[in-house]
Amino acid sequence: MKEEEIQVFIRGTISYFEEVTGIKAELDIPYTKGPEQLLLDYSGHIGISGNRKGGLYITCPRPMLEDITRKILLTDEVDDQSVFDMIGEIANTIAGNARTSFGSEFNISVPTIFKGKPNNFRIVLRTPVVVLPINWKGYQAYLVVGID
Amino acid sequence: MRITAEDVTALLDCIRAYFTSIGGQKPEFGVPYSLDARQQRHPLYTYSGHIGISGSHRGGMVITCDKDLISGLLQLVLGGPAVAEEDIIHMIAEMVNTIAGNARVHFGSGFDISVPTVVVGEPEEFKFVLAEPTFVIPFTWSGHRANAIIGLT
Repeated sequence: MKEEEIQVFIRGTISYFEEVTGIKAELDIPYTKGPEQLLLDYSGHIGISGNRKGGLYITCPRPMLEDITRKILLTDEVDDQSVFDMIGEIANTIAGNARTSFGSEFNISVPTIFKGKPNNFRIVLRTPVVVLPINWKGYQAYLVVGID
Repeated sequence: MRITAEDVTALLDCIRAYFTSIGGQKPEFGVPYSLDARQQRHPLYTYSGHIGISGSHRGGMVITCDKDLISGLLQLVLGGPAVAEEDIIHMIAEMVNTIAGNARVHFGSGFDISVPTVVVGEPEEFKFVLAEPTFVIPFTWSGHRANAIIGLT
């Protein structure tokens, strides 16, 4: 991925959090992922096809997803299903926003959601894989992108 | 749009063709079932190759199995056992990519497939979003268990 393409995901992520929650996210310096496990409580994965091929996932701690869900649904009651759906929605929206830059042939699949981070569990994307560390309201999350 | 009996039959043919095309014996299929989100146990084994589907359909396909099945495939293809974890990962990625690619003959050229993503290990839960019902097609090959999972919308 070229630097300007990484910028597409940075801008899309910042814009997602600002538009949906009213609070900006800050992104740390992107880095190339090694073989380590990089998973938090919930992860939403999107497959990419068309003019680019690969995949991305966003992984977040549960309290962050609960906080976002409360802001969007305007409720204090957040159940497991809402959290599950929220991580898929974030992955879907960030990947969808990237289409405005990559073009309409940048096709995205529906999200697949994973809960948990057992020691032996990892999601292997096409290398090189770029990690974008996200800070939102003190929570740490990661957008992980591996596309041709 | 839902997966039809013809779609499931086409997928069975693709899976069967994959194994026979590399000189392996035919897989034996169990009864396909709809994956209920409330099920206690998810259908993933240790290695899962996932393909995202977009275009004319949206969803995903997963082939999941344990290491022994992939080792058997590598033995067949390379003539030797898998040495590195990377060999296992590449092999399951190649398997799901080939099966999903062959499925385009049935689903049409608008059936766009992503490159495979491999999941190693078993999460606590997993779910395809917006792609229910998700079907699980259990099969065994050379005595090793596996599942093909597909959710399309």
